[in-house]
Amino acid sequence: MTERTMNEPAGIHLGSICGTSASQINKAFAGALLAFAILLPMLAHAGVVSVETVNMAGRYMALGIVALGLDLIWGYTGILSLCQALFFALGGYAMGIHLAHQGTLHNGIPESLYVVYPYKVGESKGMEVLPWFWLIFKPFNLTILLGILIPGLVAGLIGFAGFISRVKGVYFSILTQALTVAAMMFFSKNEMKLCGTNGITNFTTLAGHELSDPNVKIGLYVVTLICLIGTYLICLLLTKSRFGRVLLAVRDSETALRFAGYKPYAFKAAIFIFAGMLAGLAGMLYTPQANIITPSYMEARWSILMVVWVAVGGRGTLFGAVAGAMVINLLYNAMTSQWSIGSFDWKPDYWPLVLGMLFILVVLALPDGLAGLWRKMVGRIAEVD
Amino acid sequence: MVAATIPDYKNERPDQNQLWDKKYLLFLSEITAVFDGFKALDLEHIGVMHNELRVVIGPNGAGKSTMCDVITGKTRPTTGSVWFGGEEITKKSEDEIVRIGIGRKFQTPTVYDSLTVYENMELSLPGSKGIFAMLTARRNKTERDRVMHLLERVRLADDVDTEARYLSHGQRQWLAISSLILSQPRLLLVDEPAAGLTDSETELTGELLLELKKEHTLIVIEHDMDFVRQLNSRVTVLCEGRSMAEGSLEEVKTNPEVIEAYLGR
Amino acid sequence: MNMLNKLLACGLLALTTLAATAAPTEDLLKDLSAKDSAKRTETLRMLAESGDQRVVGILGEYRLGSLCLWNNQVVLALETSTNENLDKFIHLGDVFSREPLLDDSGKPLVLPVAELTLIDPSRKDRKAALNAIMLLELHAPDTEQRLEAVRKSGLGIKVEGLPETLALLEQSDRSRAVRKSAKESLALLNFRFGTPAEQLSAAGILGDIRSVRARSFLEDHEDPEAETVIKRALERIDSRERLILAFNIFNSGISSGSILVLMALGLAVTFGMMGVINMAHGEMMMIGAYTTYCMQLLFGHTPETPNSIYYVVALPMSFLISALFGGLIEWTVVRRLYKRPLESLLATYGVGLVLIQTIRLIFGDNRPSNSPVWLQGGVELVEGMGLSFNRIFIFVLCAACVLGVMALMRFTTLGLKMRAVIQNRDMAAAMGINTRMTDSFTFMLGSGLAGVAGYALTTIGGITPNMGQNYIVDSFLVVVTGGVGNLAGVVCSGMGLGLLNKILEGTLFGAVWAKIIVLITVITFIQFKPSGLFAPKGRLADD
Repeated sequence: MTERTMNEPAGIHLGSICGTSASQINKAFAGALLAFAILLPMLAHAGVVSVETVNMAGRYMALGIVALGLDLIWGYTGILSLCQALFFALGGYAMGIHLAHQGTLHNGIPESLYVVYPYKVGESKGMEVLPWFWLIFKPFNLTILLGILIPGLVAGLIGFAGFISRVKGVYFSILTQALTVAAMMFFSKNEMKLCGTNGITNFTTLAGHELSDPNVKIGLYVVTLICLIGTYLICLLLTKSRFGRVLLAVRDSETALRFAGYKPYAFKAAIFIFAGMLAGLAGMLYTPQANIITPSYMEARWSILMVVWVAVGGRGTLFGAVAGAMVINLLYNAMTSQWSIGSFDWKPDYWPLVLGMLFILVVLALPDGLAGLWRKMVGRIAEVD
Repeated sequence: MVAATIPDYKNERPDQNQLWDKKYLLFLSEITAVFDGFKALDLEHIGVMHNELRVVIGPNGAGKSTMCDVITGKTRPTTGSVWFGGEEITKKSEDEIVRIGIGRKFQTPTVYDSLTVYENMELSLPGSKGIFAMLTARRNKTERDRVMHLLERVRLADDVDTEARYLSHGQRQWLAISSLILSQPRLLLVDEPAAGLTDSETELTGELLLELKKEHTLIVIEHDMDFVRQLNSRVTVLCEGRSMAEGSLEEVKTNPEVIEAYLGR
Repeated sequence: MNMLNKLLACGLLALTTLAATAAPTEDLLKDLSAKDSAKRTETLRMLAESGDQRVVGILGEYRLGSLCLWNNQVVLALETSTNENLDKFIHLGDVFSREPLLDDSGKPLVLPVAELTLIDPSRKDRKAALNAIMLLELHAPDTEQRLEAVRKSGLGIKVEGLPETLALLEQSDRSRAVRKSAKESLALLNFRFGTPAEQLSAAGILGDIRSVRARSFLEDHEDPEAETVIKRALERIDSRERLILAFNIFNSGISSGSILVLMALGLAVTFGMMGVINMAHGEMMMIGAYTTYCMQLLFGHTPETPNSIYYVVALPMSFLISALFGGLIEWTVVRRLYKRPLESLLATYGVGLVLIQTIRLIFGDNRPSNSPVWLQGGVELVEGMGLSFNRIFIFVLCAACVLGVMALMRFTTLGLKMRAVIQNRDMAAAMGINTRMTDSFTFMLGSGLAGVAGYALTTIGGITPNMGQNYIVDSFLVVVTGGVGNLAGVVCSGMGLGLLNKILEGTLFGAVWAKIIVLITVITFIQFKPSGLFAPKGRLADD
């Protein structure tokens, strides 16, 4: 039994095969985390933790949703996509435009747009001529819908085009990265009326609630938490279904699957679209909490970082993916602030060094990430019991 | 004894003879496959009858695997056409051809390493292979019984929950073959089923194939002459992309051209 | 006719030289303080004719009113100062050398204003001085300076004596470029200030020589009679401008293509052979650039004190240092990731992050690079069509590297081993090839080539820690488009993408749109040819 636990490959859900006691440990741990996550807003309400902490946790949970999607396509299906950042930003921009409508206006033009594009947009008689792609994001419900559908649509285009012509492996990664670079340039151009490199910022209200109000911030955290739990459960169902096993089969041998009568490209595209939608949802949750969305969220760096969250957490395990996103971002938070121990001064400049080392370490020494480490640990404890 | 040569298929070509599918399940008509000017395949006509077990032998590079690739749609033939069960399948995609009823076991057994034996089998169950079907699929008793029956036959029943990566080479071969059988194809293409197996394993594989012959049509590609003898079926000899002779093993063995191809030079 | 002109010119030159000897510049300068206005004008004319280049600076000072007369000699007022009584003093300097004049005790000579006669030019004198400067510059002994002056003169005002001087230069100057420019400037002057008849013939000449600079003047000119001539001239100028545009696009396309090829060459070798993605390849380029920078520091090469030999040493050094780093990365990281391209992508990206940040912590953000002297400047084929030396150099370097790598692959044992490993790693290993060694060498070679790319890039742009990041995606696209492990494909696609980018950028679209379109083009291309331009066929195509 122990040996099986040690050799537990990625791709099997946490605790499903471990011994009873190991599974109990896992459940207890997950329960404790969940309880903490639910308690956090109450603690903030009571003034024990600051609202900023809750806000930060909310943002990182939104990123956890991206990691879930990425884990499905990379960890389970074996496709390394470097354009999750694009889908994330698409969702973010949908929400950003919606929020800008409710912010400060100049001649009927949202401030962020007015700054980079003061005329032409509002030059004609009514002074309120906004481009159509700004107007469709005015209604709240439509924004939510589009913020998920647009990334899904773009993912569908990329996915079907790429997978039908059997672009695979590294080629797909490079192409998606190139595409993200192109999209970033596109969004950075002032004349695209997407607010240029400044991005959209200074949001004030969301659906009538003041974003600066601590209660609204806590509310956003709660919404994000619910979305995270919801998407986690959906992903869990997916991976437990026969669909999930087809995804693993795609990763193991696409050719064999094709000769078993399946259309691998359809499955790949489907999961790619789903992951794109998750990233879009995450972007929508992230933007009001971060109070900004800029083209820099489409940088190659950001895309690769998302992959590393999953790698650090342990790909092929949904829990690991979310945990990876949280851990790396908390680490980022700690290491990009200045502190000192004794005579040693930590500088934010050192963070890229740590991050780079982490990349190498995870790939070389921890192929199953934190989840793999955890399994080994729990396996030992269970053995002792 | 008369040395075997290629039978006269000319008047039985599907494009000329409406009734060809009464006799044949699979018919290859004037197939050529050219890579970079190199002619890997240059067949005139080959027909495989219903419920026949056809063994294809030939030296290395004779085009055996390329022939399989052409039949299963992995490689498009440069010229010529492939007919199966009453229709032309030359231009169909791999997964369409599988759904029409041609199953294939590759030279190196292809199984899904991170899935258990049972899950591997599960993916080969006949029926819809669409996304929606996969999302809603539920396990049931009939399916389980069928899978277990097959696994017992190939001595894998004790390992249903083992991941395929922990299986031995022979077990992988059997898993691949039993998945293939499970998917109930009308024609099974079995590429070197005995490669790398021990003698007793080979014998079991042979028995399995002969058993299948009762209900299925099979094409078996093989190197191992003892194994071919065990199968005791009609043999086609490929050499340098051409079909050289057809007949029983004893017949083709006496064909001077075949002897030349195997021993000569 | 020509002969006669030349004779005449010789005579004139001799005459001016004679005039100069007859009345040395020092004496002439004194006359600038003459009371008689006509005398001053005459003096300025003679100064202009003297051809003495030293006078250019002095006349500049003269216009500013910084010359004064002291002890019957013209001196320069370097600066003024006041003492506590608010009396003004002037620090004297030599008009020619601009060095402070010293008194007997060796101290700088400072005199009260009252002891000097300030030479204060009138408005008319100032104008005349300016004319004189212009004419003098037309006789500058240095061809470059003379050419510059001649070009400028066509756009300025038509001063007295200028058309004659230009006509003279057009006929008899040593340099062909100066002769052509003089013709253009003369025609320009005639067109702008001449009579209608002169304008008509000038417009014809400007059209003949396809003077790009004349465009705006021709366009603004409204004269129904000259309409056809001007229209024809404008058409000719248009065609020239298109030619220049095409040339410049081609030129910059080739050089950016060369850099891409250099980068992609190394990448193609490592990617094609080992199936690993080296995201730190851009950083190998950066290291090459910083090595060049270090060489520059080591040899003390600055714009003021050039020591261009550093650039010769930097070539092998940048190759070696980058190759060394590449070897280190291969040994520590990449070696463990063969046939796991996705993982190698992540790990080497991490390596890249570490390298960038380390260099940033050591060197800071932006380092200036100074090209060696012999790569500055260029040759100008026609006005507006210049080939700069650094671009030629980059192209030659790229060609040499491509040929070198091809030769290495084809004619050496190492190359043979490399090709064997690319085609079938297991078989090569079975044949007794030490694939580990071959891999190491290949990776070092690839990294070294990136280092050379960085070395070449220092002559075009600045050196920054993240310079490689701008190139990595592009060079991967080049490799993918060209077909993995295919050198000819890489050269074609690298040059092709470089050119395509610049063509789009230079004609219809801006830089950003050009880039976006190129990316989309490549992505679409990959859809139809997933294995690149020169895809392997048959069994090799399957994996």
